[in-house]
Amino acid sequence: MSASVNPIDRPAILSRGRWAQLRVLTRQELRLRATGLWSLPPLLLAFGPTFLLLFIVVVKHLFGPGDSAQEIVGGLADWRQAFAEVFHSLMLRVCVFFGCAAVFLNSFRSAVAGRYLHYSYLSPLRRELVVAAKYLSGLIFTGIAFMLGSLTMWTAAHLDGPLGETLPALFSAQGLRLGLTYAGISFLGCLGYGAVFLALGLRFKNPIFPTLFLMVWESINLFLPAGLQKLSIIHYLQSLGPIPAKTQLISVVAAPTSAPVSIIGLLLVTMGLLWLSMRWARGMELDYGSDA
Amino acid sequence: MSTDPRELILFQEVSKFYGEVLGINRVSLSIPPGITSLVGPNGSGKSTLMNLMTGLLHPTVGRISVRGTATDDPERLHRLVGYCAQPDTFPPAATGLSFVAGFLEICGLGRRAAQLRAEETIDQLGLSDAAGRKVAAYSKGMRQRIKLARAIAHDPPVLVLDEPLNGLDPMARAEVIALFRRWGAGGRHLIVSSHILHEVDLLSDQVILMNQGYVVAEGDIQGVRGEMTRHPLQIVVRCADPRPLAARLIGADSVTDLQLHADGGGFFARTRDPEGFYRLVQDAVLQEGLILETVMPVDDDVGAVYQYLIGEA
Ligand SMILES: Nc1ncnc2c1ncn2[C@@H]1O[C@H](COP(=O)(O)OP(=O)(O)OP(=O)(O)O)[C@@H](O)[C@H]1O
Ligand SMILES: [Mg+2]
Repeated sequence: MSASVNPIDRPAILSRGRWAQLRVLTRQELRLRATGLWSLPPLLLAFGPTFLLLFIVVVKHLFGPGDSAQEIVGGLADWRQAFAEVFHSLMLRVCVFFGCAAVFLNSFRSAVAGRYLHYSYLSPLRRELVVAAKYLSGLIFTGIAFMLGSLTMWTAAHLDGPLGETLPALFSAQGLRLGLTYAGISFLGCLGYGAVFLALGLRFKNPIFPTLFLMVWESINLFLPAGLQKLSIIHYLQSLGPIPAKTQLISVVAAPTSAPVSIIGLLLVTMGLLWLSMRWARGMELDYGSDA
Repeated sequence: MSTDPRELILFQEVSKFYGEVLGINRVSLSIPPGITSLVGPNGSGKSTLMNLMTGLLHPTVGRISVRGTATDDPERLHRLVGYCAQPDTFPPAATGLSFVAGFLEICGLGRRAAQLRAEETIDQLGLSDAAGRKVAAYSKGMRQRIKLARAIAHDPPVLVLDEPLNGLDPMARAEVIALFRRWGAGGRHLIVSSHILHEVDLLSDQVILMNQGYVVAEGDIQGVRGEMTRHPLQIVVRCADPRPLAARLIGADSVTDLQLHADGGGFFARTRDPEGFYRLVQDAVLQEGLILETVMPVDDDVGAVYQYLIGEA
């Protein structure tokens, strides 16, 4: 221990702009996310559909040599229709939903459960920035994972069937555009669900029930009156699908909202939820209960 | 004494309730710069008061300002305040260095400058050797010191420490107390809590005594010292072969009484001068290469001092 450094003589630390603080915080949050095994489940969800498709391709190859894709679903158009259904029902409704739940619900909860959130709240920064950094780091993580997952899923789907026909289709301008569109929809899914789950994780000590409610709400979406259908994230994500998912269910499907309106709507909902989360974080009290 | 709110920590009729449970009740304080200790038994509201002062809790009623800054403005408040809170937990995978440097980067230093300053601060607390190791693998005393390093790294004029001496061995304790003395000089605020009056009274400019959520006495309390001399501090020492150490201590001025434990693995000593006592123990350790398991004040005799003060105040 050296007594030589007299703290009073050290230069004062100048304050830093909020953007710089946000950058530092986000980097720290990302590093935190990279530690431990907890990032594994969302990654499994992101690439699960790809593996599922690959598995189906392999099984068909091994056990059903005569069963080409065309025999089952007809031409490329029909077959891409099938992809749209799987993408919506599996990737968006299950994988993105639960992947975001896993990542964003825990943004604050793990820091409270691990009793280290106070270090953020005891730093010279606005709590709004803590919320923003947790959201951004989660969005970077899930966004990249699910965009890549969607692209690999799109690619894997093209390995089925006569490759001489499907591979050119994959790499055609239209094929690439469709693939990127799906990746973009996954990203918007992370954007919207991320904000929802961040808010739920901040607001509720036990967010299981709100999450279940949300899950039910998003999945019974199709049975709801057209007006209510628009009060969900999934409606807008579906509206953005390049190939509308046909649904066999007997229900009134709300007319898909146009792409610009969907995107703006999602952005507005996201911003609203972030604003709420920031307010809650500001008012939050932190003492981890009386047994500290 | 100054009455400029920019130099004081002010509590105006502050109460904090946790639902029905009382945290602190109608506390009004005006704390001048210097070393102030906050003393009270478990559950008396020390941590509550400190959490309010640092904005982690919001008062149910009343107003608080720290050197003229409201506690609901963390961006400004935490430039002024370093707080070493009670929980002994850390972000996962943090090393001593990343823990302190990360904080300094948020404060506004570049990565390299933050690194250097963190190393310097960690060195000040005698933790250089462990700086690159995971905090999770630190001992209790090392964790206490790395928290302290983070609290002082940005040189805040107000330092708030919740039970900072907990878990420190005599040598670290003496060094940390020396650091407090340096820190408390020069117009800064240093607020230290403890449930052991003897530990902090001697280094404090003023003492705030708390009990059951109330401030029961405040200021440079006459009689505290006298009362403490009547009730010397009892310290328990445990080590494999206590006899040589006991023999050295029994003749010292600062030791009033010494009792070997029946199992031969330690002793109780009473002292009116804990710092002198710790110095003696430390010398003995250095000269004779003893390995101590525990050196710790026993709190039960503090009860007598409380009884006296709380009864009279
Ligand atoms: N989150 C909480 N919920 C309910 N009661 C609480 C909470 N935190 C503290 N309390 C109560 O408030 C009172 C004061 O607690 P506080 O932690 O401030 O005491 P303390 O003096 O710091 O005690 P210790 O020496 O044990 O740290 C106690 O009665 C405690 O039970
Ligand atoms: Mg406490």
